[in-house]
Amino acid sequence: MSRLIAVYNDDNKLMDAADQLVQMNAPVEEVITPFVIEELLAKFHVKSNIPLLAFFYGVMGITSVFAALYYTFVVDYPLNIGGKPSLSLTFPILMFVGTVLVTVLSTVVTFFYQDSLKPGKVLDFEYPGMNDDKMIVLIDKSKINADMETKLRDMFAKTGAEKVEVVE
Amino acid sequence: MYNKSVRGELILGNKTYADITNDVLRSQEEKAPLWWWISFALFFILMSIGIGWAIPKTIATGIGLWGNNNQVPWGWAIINFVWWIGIGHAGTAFSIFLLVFRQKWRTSINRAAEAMTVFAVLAAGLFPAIHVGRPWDEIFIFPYGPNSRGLWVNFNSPLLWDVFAILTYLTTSAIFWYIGMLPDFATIRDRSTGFKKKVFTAVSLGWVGKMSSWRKFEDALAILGGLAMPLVIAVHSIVSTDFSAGILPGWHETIFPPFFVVGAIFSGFSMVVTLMVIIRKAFKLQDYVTDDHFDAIARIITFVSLIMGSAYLIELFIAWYSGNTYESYVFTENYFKGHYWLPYWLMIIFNAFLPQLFWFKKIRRNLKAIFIITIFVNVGMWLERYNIVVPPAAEDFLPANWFHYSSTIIDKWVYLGTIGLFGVGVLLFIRFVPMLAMNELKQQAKRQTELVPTEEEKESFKKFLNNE
Repeated sequence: MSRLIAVYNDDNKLMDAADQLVQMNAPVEEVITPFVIEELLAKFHVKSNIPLLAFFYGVMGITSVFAALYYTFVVDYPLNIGGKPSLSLTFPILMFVGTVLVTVLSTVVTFFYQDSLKPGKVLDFEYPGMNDDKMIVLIDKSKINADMETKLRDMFAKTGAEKVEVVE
Repeated sequence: MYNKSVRGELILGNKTYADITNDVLRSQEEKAPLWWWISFALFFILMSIGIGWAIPKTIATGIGLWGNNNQVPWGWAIINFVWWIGIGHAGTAFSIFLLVFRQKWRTSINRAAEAMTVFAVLAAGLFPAIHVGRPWDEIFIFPYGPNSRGLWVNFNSPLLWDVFAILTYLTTSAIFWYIGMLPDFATIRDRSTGFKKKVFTAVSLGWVGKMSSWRKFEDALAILGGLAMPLVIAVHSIVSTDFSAGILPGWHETIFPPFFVVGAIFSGFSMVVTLMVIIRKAFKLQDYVTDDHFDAIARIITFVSLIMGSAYLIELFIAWYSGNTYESYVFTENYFKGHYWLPYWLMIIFNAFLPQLFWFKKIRRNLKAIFIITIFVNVGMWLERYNIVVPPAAEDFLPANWFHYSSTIIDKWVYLGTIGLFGVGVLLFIRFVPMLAMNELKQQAKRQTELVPTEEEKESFKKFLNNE
């Protein structure tokens, strides 16, 4: 895959470039940064559905833990402990803990799945210092024409990119 | 919003992003210093004797080798368990409470605190596991199905809640720690070669700091943090109900859940400080772990110490106000002037009085003083658990049954073994894992540079203050 990349070493310059990219409506594939830059995420309206999914996992967790407790302690083998009711007020304690466990594990699996994180994953893009101090804008070259490429190169140079190049 | 002129700088020395990476990874990339090898050897020996000899001997012979007796069925094992769990709560308390309350000064310390949590909870988990006497029967604690025994476990028992709460806590905090480290592992992967690169390629799971990845990363961490915060409170409240659900005077108290949670934060924060003083000194990280950091933690410790002192007073008040002879006895006879006066008064001095020295700015900013006081707090917190576990059980309702407790050599070696385990874990962490969260430090460095007020802004702020 052929990409036009612009490498920055200053996040303020990167943000200037981000403003221009949004104005130019450029097909930005990704921006790689060594730390989270909230303003950048807001600029490109980057969203995730993890919070919503986590809520559903929570609902699933609380329901399944209650069902398990109810089945074991009320239906299958109700113990008589000093005449206290089997459907006990102690249930919420384990329901809370169980819900947290189910939600945490499911959220992490979702995060790994959505981001394709796994041991031994082969990186499709590497650049020296990309997780250290370099901020890199990636643009899929097949989605821009020659005119757009010239404009982008000019803009990157003006906003202070350290390097602008095409990588395969 | 972070304003450097108001809140001070959290990273000193005008560091660039590359400087941050180099400074943090220096401990990994340079040869291990001599002190590291000596400490590692010492902790390893402790761990080998404790876990390699005392625990197998306990399992092979039985817990009769411990000092426990009919009257005091829970001895050092449960004292150590509660002590370690308390320390284990610091990581979450530190990292997540401060994350949720948007305290930016957490960034230099959170990673070490999270590491401490994982090793402390591992050490804690050993005690109930061996205390049951027959660890091979522990599978019966889990309500596995189909129900082949015709009987399910007792879900009403706080001891069972403990099992689930602690395993959930261990899982959650280990995952929170690991996910937070992914970007830093990727940084190490990119700059290493050979075997090290292979290892970090595997553990970084192919992380690249893309915008979409950061969004998911932030959301996932926020959710884990949000869930772990009430979990801390739940876990330690549950540990406290192991006692307060009992009918023994001195245990049967409704104050225990908040008292335990605050105590956990108290001892955990102190242990974090003790470790950070050593790490800062050993790796010359004073630009990242600044005097302001210690000042901030010392203020929290002072405040929490006041809560602890109040809790001790409330216990006394309730013992008197309840009019319960047995309850009063525990405090007036047993603790004040009985067999257990020494641990009781040392606890009061170490936990309630000594941290009050932090009211003085000079002491809050003196690393030696902070180091010594926090060690005393940890000793005080161990004594507090001793005072809860042993004296009420040793002298309960029937004087004819009274029997005093003394620990055995096996008790002591099991405890030292867990200290060895914790020490080995922390030393390996220092050596092989970035001990400060590099990606968060870089974010903090960015914040500092962008929000320096201009002269114009300072002028307008002055005018605003003067109502001009």
